[in-house]
Amino acid sequence: MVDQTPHPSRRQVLKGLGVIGGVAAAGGLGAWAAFSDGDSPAASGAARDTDLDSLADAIVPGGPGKDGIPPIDEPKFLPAGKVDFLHDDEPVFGLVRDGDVRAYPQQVLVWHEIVNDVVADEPLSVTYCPLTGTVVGFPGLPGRPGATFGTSGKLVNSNLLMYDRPTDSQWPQVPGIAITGELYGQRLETVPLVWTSWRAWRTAHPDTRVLSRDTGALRDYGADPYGSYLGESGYYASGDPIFGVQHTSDRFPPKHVVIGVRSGGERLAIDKDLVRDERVVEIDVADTTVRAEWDDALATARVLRADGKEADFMDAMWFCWYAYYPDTVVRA
Amino acid sequence: MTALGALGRATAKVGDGVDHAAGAIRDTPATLRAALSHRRGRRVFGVAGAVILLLYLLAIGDIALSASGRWAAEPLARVAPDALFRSRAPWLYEPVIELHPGAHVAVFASPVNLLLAGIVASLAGLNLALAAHAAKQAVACRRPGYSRSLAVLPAFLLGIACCAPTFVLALGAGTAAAIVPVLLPLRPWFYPLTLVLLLTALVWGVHRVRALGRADQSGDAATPN
Repeated sequence: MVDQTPHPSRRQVLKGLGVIGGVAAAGGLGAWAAFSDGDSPAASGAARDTDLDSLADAIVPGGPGKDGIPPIDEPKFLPAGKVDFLHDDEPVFGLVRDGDVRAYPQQVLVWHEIVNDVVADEPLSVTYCPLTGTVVGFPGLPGRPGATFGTSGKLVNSNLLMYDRPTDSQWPQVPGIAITGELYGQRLETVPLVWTSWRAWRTAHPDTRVLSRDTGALRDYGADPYGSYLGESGYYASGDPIFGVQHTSDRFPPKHVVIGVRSGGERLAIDKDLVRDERVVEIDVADTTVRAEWDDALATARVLRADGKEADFMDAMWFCWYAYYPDTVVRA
Repeated sequence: MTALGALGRATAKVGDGVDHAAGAIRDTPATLRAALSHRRGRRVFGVAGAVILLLYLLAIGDIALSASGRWAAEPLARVAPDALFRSRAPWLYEPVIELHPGAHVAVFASPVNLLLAGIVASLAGLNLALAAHAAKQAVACRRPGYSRSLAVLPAFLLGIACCAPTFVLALGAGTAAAIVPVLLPLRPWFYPLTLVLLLTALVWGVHRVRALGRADQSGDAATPN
């Protein structure tokens, strides 16, 4: 049979080809822009470390842009008697450093994640990641006085990825090691803070000063976008982490709180409930001993080294500690 | 018919579509003027635009509600003018005024967010006003009621659905965990995608109205394609 359909005009065919080609090119460009990752771990002459490079490869966008979760750079503090925005049972992160006593309310830090503070005349960046329940103090950047940190808007193992403002190197909060940039491989010193309630902290430290809600940013303080620690609901109570993690374990529920401890090359996870029940838990680590003690007044755990000084420890959701340290020793 | 010939015809159809679209784009201002010249069209535009604007601002958290009235002790207003152009996330800006008009409502007003929301709300409102105009034309064509509904329903649904990508802007930790990590890299594209969809729907709506007009003139009651 002879095909009697009229031939399309060349002009219309060319027009159609132009449109199809344009759409395909724009789509390809868009997909490349959306999924390409500009966070190459290179940019340093330092020796490569496969563990650090695998962390750099695990960087994912968290939603906000750089400093889209705005760090507090000029924190203001109130005396305990002037604080009227905290419920007694609300969590605060307590710090005592060279006689300077401070409380950082979780309801403020959940919106900012980093407070670039000065405590006892020394810089201290107090950092909090709501997705992993970890709070860590970092006393600045080695060799760069006055350096502050910002939020990259990205995550590693569902954990806050900070950047330092002088070099733009990126530091996941829990390990505190630069995984990209000029300072690749450097480790930050840490200062532990304790999770406790506002009532317990102000009773134990009536002279405490409290981070104010006058932060320079306008936020719905008192509302928590993730859930609530008053009666434990939402993200904090149960379920899997939202973002991907490198290693998983079902030894505890993902959001179960452990006390993560780093001592030399050893990594320990102590069930926080165990410390509360047994009051004291001692663990031999390599050639030393660490001692986790329950603090009744603050209803929290502290970890001390054999010399009586505070160890490098933090409260952490189990999934996060395990994601970073799958070889961790567990005490439950 | 050879495969090459079929491909040529398909490509030519795309070219024809471009011509139709160009015609519809040319006619868009006049058709929108006609749609808004009636009281009903203006009412649909105003109500739909206001609802979309409200939903957008609620979705991004610039309007917050509290059943327990937790803002009772807050001052009426706080300001942070320095944050005017500070971005929080793609297509999302810092508020510069915090208002507590009552214990149950808080407004975190960002002029840039308001502008972005206003554009989406206006385009969605225009789409729906155009759909209402098409319905009116279908009546003029003496179509039965169900036929009218079938003619305008896609336009109504499209007008609303095109805003969906923008509402994904509000996705955060509280929403479906499985899809958030997949959608987040695409987040910068949601707002432009919304505009493209709304504008496309608008041109398509104009094309339908033109087709209805032609059918009316020729007395043909066939559904326009």
